[in-house]
Amino acid sequence: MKKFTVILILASMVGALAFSAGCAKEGKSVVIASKPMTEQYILVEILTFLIEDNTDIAVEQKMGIGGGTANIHPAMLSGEIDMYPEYTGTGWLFVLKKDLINDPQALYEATKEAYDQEYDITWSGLYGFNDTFGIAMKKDLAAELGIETYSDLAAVSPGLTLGAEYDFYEREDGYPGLESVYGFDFGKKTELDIGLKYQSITSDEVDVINVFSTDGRLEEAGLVVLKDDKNFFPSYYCATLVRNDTLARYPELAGVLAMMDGMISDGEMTYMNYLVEIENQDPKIVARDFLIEKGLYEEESD
Amino acid sequence: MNILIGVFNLYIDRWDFFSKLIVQHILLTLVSVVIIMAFGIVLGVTMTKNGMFAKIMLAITNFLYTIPSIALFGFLVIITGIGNQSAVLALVIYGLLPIIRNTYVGIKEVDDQVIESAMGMGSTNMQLLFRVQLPLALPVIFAGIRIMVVMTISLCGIASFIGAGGLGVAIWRGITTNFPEMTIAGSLLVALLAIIADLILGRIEYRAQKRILGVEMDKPLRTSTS
Amino acid sequence: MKKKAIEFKNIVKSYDGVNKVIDNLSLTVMSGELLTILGPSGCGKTTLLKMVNKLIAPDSGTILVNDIDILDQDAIQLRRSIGYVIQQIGLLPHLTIKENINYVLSIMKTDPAFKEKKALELIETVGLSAEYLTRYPRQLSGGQKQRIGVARALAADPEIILMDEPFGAVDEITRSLLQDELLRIQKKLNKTILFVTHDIQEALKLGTRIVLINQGQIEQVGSKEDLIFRPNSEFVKDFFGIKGFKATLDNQVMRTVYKRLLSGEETLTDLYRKLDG
Repeated sequence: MKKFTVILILASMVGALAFSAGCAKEGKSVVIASKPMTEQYILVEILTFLIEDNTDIAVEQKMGIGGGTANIHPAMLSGEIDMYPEYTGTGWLFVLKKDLINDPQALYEATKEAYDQEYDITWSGLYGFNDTFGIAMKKDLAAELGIETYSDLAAVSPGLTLGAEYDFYEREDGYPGLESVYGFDFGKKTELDIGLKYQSITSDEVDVINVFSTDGRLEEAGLVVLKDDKNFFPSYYCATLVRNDTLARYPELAGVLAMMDGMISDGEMTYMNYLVEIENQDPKIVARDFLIEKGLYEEESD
Repeated sequence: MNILIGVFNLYIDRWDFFSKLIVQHILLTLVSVVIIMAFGIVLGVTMTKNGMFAKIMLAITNFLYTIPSIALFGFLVIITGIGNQSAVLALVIYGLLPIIRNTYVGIKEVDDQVIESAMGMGSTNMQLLFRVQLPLALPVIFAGIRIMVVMTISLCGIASFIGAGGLGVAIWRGITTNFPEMTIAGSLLVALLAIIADLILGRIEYRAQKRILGVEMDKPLRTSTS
Repeated sequence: MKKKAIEFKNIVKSYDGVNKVIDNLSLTVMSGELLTILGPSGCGKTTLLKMVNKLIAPDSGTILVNDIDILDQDAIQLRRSIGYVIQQIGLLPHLTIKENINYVLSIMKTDPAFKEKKALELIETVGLSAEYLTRYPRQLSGGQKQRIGVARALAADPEIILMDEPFGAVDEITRSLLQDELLRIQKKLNKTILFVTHDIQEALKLGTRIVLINQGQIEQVGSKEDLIFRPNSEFVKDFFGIKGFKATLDNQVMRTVYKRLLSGEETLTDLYRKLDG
């Protein structure tokens, strides 16, 4: 029976070894993370194609990190993650916790500089689209209540239910700010997971949800994004965040990341989101097709 | 019915995606299970030697067990970061309870006349443990292992939430991209793994019981013959 | 020159600090004798036995085994050199009979060929056929299991064997057979045996000497004639009484008398007259 312990000990050693071996990276590789959102899955696939196609660096994807920025940022700082797509507004308001700058370009510059100084992280060039917050509700309901703007909505808010994710309720650039600017007073406020919001509004569990301007599901769910008449919501232009460390280690990355500059428009992003969310295409395929169309990727013969 | 067809097609279309996830899932589970058994059995044995320690250990693991798994996963992320190591840590924490409890109980329940005769014959503590106590406690310990493995396979489905691999990636992907077929596809595979593991372990458990207790579960006890 | 196998010197033991289970007891066990330890329940006889192989420690006093204080002897080695048979036997259910018999040899890392030979030899000694070696304890009857218990105790060829009511769990007929078997083995092997029992007949039948214990102290120690016909105290006299006498009656004697009655050499009336007068 001594054999039993010996086997046990050996097995755990093997297990631990296999484990750490799995953690150790052989050869050149970077870790790219994404938040649990369709758009991010697509962006990371695009990045993966570009990097693997134009360099000999292997990409390890960590898709759908629960908690989004809240958990990805610490991981960037600790070096567990090398890069991920982030939005200017989020970086400035949520991570740096600074006061809003309304001009999108100024916001980007300021965020870029602060990240470089404080976190040793670089903001690559902006992709082009602005995925900002919106408030949406069903077209019919909006028409019925005569709502076109946020101010209109505020007036009737006590009779309606709002559904939004945790992040939104906590961020100053989210509900709290909105509430003070427009005077919202929703009859009921529910916390929903990002992935469940559209389900909830479609089934009328909630009347109003916060959406992103590039959501693929807006059309399908018959929603209209109301007008931000007081221009409350900040800009959220997207770019790749990459550790300066990583860039130093792999200087060739800079050129590849630059390829993303101005690559994707609002409409293009929304369309890709639509393909994945409504037509259920594989984000990888959608990304690839997009790149092929842009002439940035060539199909290798199998 | 349509949804099932969708799921089925999904398996066919994205087989390399799923097979990669299945392998990751099995590996994560395996590593966790091995660590759980190594620590769990040692802790369980130690508990039989020290009553105070036993009480403390049981209280701690009971407490940890009541924490909702997502909460524990989320909490660990803050401490140990995202990825596989946090996932394994969470899985180990959850998996420990059945093992240490069953090891402890299994050993305690060994007939003390058997223990006394083994001691009276001059067994050292190690010999007593490995030649008598553990073999006789094995059926109970094994029942615990079986529960733990199935539970770990299921829990591993949540691991992707914190950036680990495994079939949870498909489940989580399906949820966040409005793709129920994907969610179901992932969930079915997790269930399948769990069922297969349970069947295999059940078979082994049956053999162990038969060997040590000599009882075949469905047949009446044979009376000893002269 | 007879050797002293075990010596108890002024042993005191109490479990709760108030009531003494063993009260200043001294006793010498000579090598080669079968000493039966007799007494009512709770008199301390099992406790006394378990002190020899250090399963229980006395509060004060000394125990010598083969003239060496057991406190100076390693418990594990001591136990391996002393056979131990208990009432519930305690065979290891997950091992075969052969593995059970050889248990002490196994933990002493004995050569397998030797173990093989020993197992065959011992199973024969205790009167069972070799085919039982591959069976498991659950497949044996109570009596058979107890025989294996004895075989197991003999495996390492110990000089001393401790037996704690070993035949208590079997029926009368089997018990009688096992007792005869033990006597036969003892005749052949000449071990020192300490045999605890609460059964008067058993104690008298088996013991070359018998010690009667009451409330942790020795009432009397001696041969069966000593105890029955020359009791030291009221207690001893009451303890044995006529039951004790009946137990001493040899089967041989009874059969002889019966034969004589049958053949007419003797009549019952004559017999009674002889006894009366």
